[in-house]
Amino acid sequence: MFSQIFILSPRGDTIINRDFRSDLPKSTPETFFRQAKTYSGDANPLFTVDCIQFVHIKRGGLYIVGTSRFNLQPAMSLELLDRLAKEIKDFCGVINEEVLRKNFILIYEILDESFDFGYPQLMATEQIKPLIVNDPIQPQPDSVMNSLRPKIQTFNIFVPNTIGSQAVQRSVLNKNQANEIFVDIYEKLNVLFNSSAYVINQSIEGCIQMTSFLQGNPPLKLALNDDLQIGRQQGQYSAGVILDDCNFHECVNANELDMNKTLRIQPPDGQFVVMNYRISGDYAAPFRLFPIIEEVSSSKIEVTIKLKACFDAKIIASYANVRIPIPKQTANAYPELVKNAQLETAEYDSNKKIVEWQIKKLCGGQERSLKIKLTLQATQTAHTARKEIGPIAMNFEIPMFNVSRLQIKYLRIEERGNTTNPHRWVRYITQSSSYVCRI
Amino acid sequence: MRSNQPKATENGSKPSQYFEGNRKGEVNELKILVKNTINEKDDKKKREVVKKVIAYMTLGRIDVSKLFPEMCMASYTNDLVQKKMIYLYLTTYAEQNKDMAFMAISTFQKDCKHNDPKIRGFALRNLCSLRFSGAIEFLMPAIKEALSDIDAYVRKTAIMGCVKVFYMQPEQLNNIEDQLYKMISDNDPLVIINAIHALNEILAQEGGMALSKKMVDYLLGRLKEFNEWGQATILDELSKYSPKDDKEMFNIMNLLEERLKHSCSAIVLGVIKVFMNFTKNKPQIYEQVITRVKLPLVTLASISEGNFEIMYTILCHIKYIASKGYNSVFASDYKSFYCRVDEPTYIKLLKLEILSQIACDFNLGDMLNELGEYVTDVDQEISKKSIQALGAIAIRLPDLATAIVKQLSSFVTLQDYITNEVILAFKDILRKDPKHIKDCLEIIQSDNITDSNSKIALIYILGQFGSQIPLAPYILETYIGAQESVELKHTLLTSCLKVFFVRAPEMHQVLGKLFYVIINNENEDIDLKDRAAYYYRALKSNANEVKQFWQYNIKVDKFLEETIINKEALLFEFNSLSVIYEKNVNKFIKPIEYFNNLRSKELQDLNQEQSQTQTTQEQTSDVIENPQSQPYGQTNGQTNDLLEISEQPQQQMSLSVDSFIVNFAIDADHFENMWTNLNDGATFTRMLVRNDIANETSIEQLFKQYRLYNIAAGEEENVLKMYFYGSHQCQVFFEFEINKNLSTVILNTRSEIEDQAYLASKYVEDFLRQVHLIE
Repeated sequence: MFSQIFILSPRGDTIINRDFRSDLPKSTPETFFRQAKTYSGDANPLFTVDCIQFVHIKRGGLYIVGTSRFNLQPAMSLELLDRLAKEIKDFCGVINEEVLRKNFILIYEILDESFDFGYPQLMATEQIKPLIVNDPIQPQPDSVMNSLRPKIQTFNIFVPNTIGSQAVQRSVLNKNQANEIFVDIYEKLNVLFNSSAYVINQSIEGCIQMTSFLQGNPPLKLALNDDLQIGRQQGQYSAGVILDDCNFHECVNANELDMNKTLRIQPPDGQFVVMNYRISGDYAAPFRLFPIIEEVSSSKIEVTIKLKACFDAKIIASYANVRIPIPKQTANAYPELVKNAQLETAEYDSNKKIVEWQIKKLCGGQERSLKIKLTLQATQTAHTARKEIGPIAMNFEIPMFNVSRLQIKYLRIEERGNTTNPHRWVRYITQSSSYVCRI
Repeated sequence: MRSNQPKATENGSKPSQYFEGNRKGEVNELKILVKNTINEKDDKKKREVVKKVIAYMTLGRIDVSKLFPEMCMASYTNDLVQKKMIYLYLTTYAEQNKDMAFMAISTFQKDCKHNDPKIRGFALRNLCSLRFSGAIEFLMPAIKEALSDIDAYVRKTAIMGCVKVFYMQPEQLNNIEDQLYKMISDNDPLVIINAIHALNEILAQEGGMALSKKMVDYLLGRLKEFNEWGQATILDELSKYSPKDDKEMFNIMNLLEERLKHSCSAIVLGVIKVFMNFTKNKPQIYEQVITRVKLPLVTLASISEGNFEIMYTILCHIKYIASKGYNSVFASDYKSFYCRVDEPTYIKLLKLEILSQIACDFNLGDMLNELGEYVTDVDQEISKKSIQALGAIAIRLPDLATAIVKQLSSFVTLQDYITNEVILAFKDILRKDPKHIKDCLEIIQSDNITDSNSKIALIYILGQFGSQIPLAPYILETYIGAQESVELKHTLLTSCLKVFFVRAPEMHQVLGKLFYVIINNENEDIDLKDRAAYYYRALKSNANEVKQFWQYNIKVDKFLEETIINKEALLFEFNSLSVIYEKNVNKFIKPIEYFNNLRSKELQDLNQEQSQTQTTQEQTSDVIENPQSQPYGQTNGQTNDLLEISEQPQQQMSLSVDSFIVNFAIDADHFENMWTNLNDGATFTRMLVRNDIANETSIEQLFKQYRLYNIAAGEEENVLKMYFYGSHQCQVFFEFEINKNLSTVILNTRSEIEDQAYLASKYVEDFLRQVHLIE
């Protein structure tokens, strides 16, 4: 199993370093960081150097790394590190460099209860909670450090900045906290349009995620749509919600799902994913993109992009960003918004040759457009350069909206005991995973 | 709680500056701080101090192991917060402070008998982690008692303690196995899992824990009581078991099937491994198993919730299953393996490999469009990989290759790196099926091929298909005399010859030019020259006969690489790192002795480094010593006394006249050669106190007496420079300089062995002092 577990900052500084078995060299953090830097993108999660096995995950910019001299089970070792990251998140509220540096003693405590001699021990937040003696130290929210830090890139990957998420960014150790549970239905959309706005590929990856601050971990009963169906038969059409496949957390009993669409849950403390699901069927894409490319002259191109929000007018997307790669031989590019455009910006990054169009708020039914005027360098003609435009990628989040129509009918706490009825917060969030339009 | 961490962690960006130059002072300061706070009443203050020590320990930039005695003292506290931190410190450094670790033991022992099981377990866990053999006599009784503790937390800790003892003094365990086997029937799931882990490590020689049918039934019956990792562990055990008959096999498999719905990838892969191992000799059922496990695998591979690492692992396993000949199973799910914008490069590259494996007649159309899009990806790595993927599909599916070749040809007008990669793909496609040459013509005759390997591929193609490529002779001609690698020139020679046999009139001059350029180039590779000369003479004597030798056709049915990889892959263990690395287990797993060596070497280096910085620090006021001097006979961390220790052996080992060989001689070339190639060994600068012998002849005489011989000398503007050499265990070389203007004497010494340079430098210094040339 693991010989050591260490956590490194994005610059390679050691923040946490725990040697469980003392059977590997002490210089492994340097070895790891050096090797990780040899990859042009992110490093492979598993690699070997000098017959030392390195397993790592990246969370909040930090490298959480396990080492071993054994032929590990790769999935198990990664799941363990992921579990460790979740524990840290449960105890500290969030996971980032500042919080980890402030709470390193607490994290050593968590590590020592979670692993002994490198083997996983107590890994559930509620099991460790009674054994922890240190209190979490919250980072000062308005510290100078925070305001100086560059904003997290809103493109790529999961954006944690969703509405109300502050409420769940707190420690399970907080003694005077409300007796409550948060339920999120996340759906990440994957849509691929071809140049004539025809959908080539689409799918939904969704999950029901809970963050529980319930006192006494009472059993829960969660009911989903009546017309829910799991497993898709070839060529079958149905009005109901069809999931291609799904899987469940250890704490979930799904025996009654087929019968009466309910899940029985024995909730642990903190954050966990009740259920993951995957839908490959057709659905109405919430945004449509219509790119038009015009060769104005042999050295000038005009790109017009229309964006249409095809959902109910009551729903508001909290942001919608569009990224348009333009030819490498571009001499200059002028993105032009329509007149009186509000809460919209468009910028050209001449290093990356990308135009970023950011829309802060977008109501359903609305349409926006952007015009980009490109001037090419003399070495390339408009005709060959236009091939290099695109693909256009979109990044968005729409709260209180889900395309699959999967719904939570009710969430019941089965044995209430003496406590007051706990608060139950349910949110629906739809995000882009890979929302791409090719030209 | 003003500062919760030492400054060093706060200004993390430039911590080295903070420590540089003042390491020793820092440690001493900390030492005093800890000492002073031991009697402090306020626990909060004490906590802060201990916390500071742990922070330094984590950073590892300064060595806080010297605080060990103070931390032992501090461990006599009732504050659990402090105790936890101090125990963490003690277990980290006990190995280096074996003598002092005893001091700490009594508090551990006391805590092992505490009323609170949490503290009992915690103390025992740390006591067992002390890792020094002296603790054993206290350890075994404590473990034995704890193994039958009333609390499961203590029991499970005690079992891990057995494994720790096993790595220190295995004989102490004394048939503990029976007891561990019994503990598998414990009530607590974690105790059971730890017992399994312990048995597997202790009995590793015999292949781990023995698994009876009874035990299998028992563990499966309780499977759901275990957490995810426990289940994964049991499944891994189960995969080693062979069911007695089909009935038992199906029973177990039916029982486990619903676990495929689990969201934990470790469990799903664990179940799949059991299924695969159970049915490996029953091909029909095996295939059913693969079909059954496809859905959960694809689901795990697409649902990532930001967890790309797990996704990567699952994709590796899908690729592995597909490569074992089950690629058609995944063929209909090809869209799941399309790349997405938010995925990291390592996922995309892997998906491209899978796509190239699962391509078949019904999905190829879609897939070609998709792969074609990736070719223009901003990430060059993705672009290249997608071209390779297309090439691989063309080779694997010869019937569908034409479409792919046509598509590849269409990329010709794009970037250079794309053209380069396409040519490489074409080379392999054409080797397998020459008929595609007619679709490759455009790209072959394009002129934006820049990469060396691609050029070689192009030249190969030109040679092989010279008769069908109109411009072949003229393109070949452009490479003659160009600054290229020898490898390329070899290929060029072969290709020109091949084209000559089919298009003699056009090639006659080109070939002649090539022979001329190669044979008349003085600096040319000799092997290439020989080949050219041989061909030239052979052609001259009988061109037709040579032509006959050359006319043969090699047709490739299967590339050797494909078959080798497949054979090796059969031996990979599912759900192990072999599948990820695509390497056999013996290529990346080494026995523990290998790591022990690494560690002891590291420890030595560390000590040397420490002692070096110490010596230089201590001696700067005295004399300028060789900074690379090594403490002889010094191996472990008694760095405090280092100064005395390092002085003594130097005197013992100093050189005398007898150590040098009399009338040793070398020539000037050798000297110059050695001098320029060796690194600076040792250097010293001294004040010149005696002017009368500071001349060439006297100095030469003096050194000769001491068996060091002059090889060159010169004087310019009152600066006398002389070079000497000598030989004892190895050769040593000196540069000796007397600067009369500044009244200084400088000696540079170099040797193949740095210690020897240092010793020789000392030796010279001694005799210079004896004749009072220097102070």
